[in-house]
Amino acid sequence: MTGAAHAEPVADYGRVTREIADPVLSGGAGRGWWAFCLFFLALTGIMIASIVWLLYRGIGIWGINTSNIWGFAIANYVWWIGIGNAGTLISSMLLLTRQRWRTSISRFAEAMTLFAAAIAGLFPILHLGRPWLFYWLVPYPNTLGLTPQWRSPLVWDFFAIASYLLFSLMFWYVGALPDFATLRDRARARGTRILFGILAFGWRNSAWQWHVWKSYYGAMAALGVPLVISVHSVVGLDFAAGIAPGWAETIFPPYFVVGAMFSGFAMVVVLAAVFRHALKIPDLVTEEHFDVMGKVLLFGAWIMALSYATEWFYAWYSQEAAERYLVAFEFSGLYAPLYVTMLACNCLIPQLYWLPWARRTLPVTITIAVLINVGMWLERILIVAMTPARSHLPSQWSAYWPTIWDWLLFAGTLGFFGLLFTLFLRVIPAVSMHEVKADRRQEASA
Amino acid sequence: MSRARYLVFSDVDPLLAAIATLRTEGVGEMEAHTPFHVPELAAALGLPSPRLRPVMLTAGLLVALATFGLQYWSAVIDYPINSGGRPLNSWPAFGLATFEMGVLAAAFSGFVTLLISCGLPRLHHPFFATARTEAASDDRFYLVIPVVDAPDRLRLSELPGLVEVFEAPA
Repeated sequence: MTGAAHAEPVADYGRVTREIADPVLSGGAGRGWWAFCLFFLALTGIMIASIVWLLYRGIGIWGINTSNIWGFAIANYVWWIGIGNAGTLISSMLLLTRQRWRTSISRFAEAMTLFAAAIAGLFPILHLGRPWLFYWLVPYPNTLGLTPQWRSPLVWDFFAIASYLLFSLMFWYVGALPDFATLRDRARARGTRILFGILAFGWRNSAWQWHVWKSYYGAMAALGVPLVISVHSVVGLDFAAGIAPGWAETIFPPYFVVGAMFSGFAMVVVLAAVFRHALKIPDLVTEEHFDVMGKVLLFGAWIMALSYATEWFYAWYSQEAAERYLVAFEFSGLYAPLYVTMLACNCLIPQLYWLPWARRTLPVTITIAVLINVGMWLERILIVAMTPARSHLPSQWSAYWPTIWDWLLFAGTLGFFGLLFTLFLRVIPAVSMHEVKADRRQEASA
Repeated sequence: MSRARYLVFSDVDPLLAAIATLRTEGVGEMEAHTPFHVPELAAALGLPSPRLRPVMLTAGLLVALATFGLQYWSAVIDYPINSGGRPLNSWPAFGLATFEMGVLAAAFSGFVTLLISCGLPRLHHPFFATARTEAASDDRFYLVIPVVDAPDRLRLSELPGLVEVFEAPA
């Protein structure tokens, strides 16, 4: 809100509706939107093409080999699901702790979760070798008389991602339900009336409906926090359940959870800046938001530094030759330049967030956030690549380098993510109107 | 079809004050429509507890139990595989799917309970019979009183903060 509106005792609810709903309902999309949409559509085409080629030729088109069996597929899976975790974190944890600044960013953070988790889910399926048999992970009655191997991390992954995706979808939809009703009541064109009429499910904003809604939403927020922690812990266990050096560490589940929050928050900063610019809502997503998120990222950077240091300490303290060799390999081997870049991006550069100026100057904040995402992506790819490259058996040592198809699939999924977001901007209110209004009421009465 | 008086307010506080006033005057049946969740309304209108969370808890625990049961049955009874001498009942490993399915079941049962107790989906409702109720999702606060119960218009027009009164089906 502008200063003038703050002076008034009564909150201007109608203005919130106008600012958020009208960009969705207005007819023209603008040339910039179409340009982005077409660009992302082209990348999505590349994603589809590389998936089709993969299904036709098999996973040999990737850079993987008999030691490095995971490569980009699993690294990108871990990176995407990490991004997907921050949305629920912002919605749930900040709701439970009553952080009011969350309201204007929670909606698109949840959308980010949904899109990123859906994309993440693709990778483990694609890396299966025979992806069309992925339904064997589901325990269903079959003529083979078999159920999945419950001790396998792949099966844990399946349950974790599937539950998380469906959970996020319900959480997000119920949160948006009252806003769909607002759009239904505000829409004038026949098509949008029907679309939002169906999406709103007949929501009437009655006191009883709100009463039930709040009960559900609060319970979901409380369930969301342990769920999101369990999901990324399972991802960490994918690595830690074996005996490989650099992977078999008890720190992995919490270390992965923190890494996920870290990269997810960085992505929220980037998307918040894009949204603020695209929707022209600087009074809803303010410098204040970037300031707070900068502090969160700074905290995250220190936790990451602590996690890396713990890994090195474990390796030294374990007296295990393979563990120690791996740490030496990290700093001096094949991937040393990438490893050092990762440390700089994740631990060193975020220290700029100590400066209030850096947190509040958008170009600086966004650059740091993008670098954090690069750093976290490097971390995932290095975790996946380094351990198999220098594991216990020297005869199995190898090197992993991605091929063009690895890169194309990754770029394609980035484009698909962008496409989903571009469409999201045009179809769904990017900021939760009813929650912002409830906030405005609190502010007005405070 | 019964009819009701719709009282339209411009903010929450006049709405809450009007509910309190009308209560003391013996108006029993009232329904409010607000653009956002107003925590005070539940007490003001005497709404019962939604009983949604007990359903979620029960469903979550039952499905978690069933998921563990399925894993135990298939790994210990139906198809035991000796994998490196590990115990057949590897309950720590079974715990993951158990937890995820429990949470998912709680979320889903809560969603269904939400729809049922809110009477949704219901795309046709007397509340939608007039376009004048559209602002309930924007910036207006509605109090709906059945005509048989409602005080006359003159009395209602004395309520502070009232924007308008109209009659419509309910």
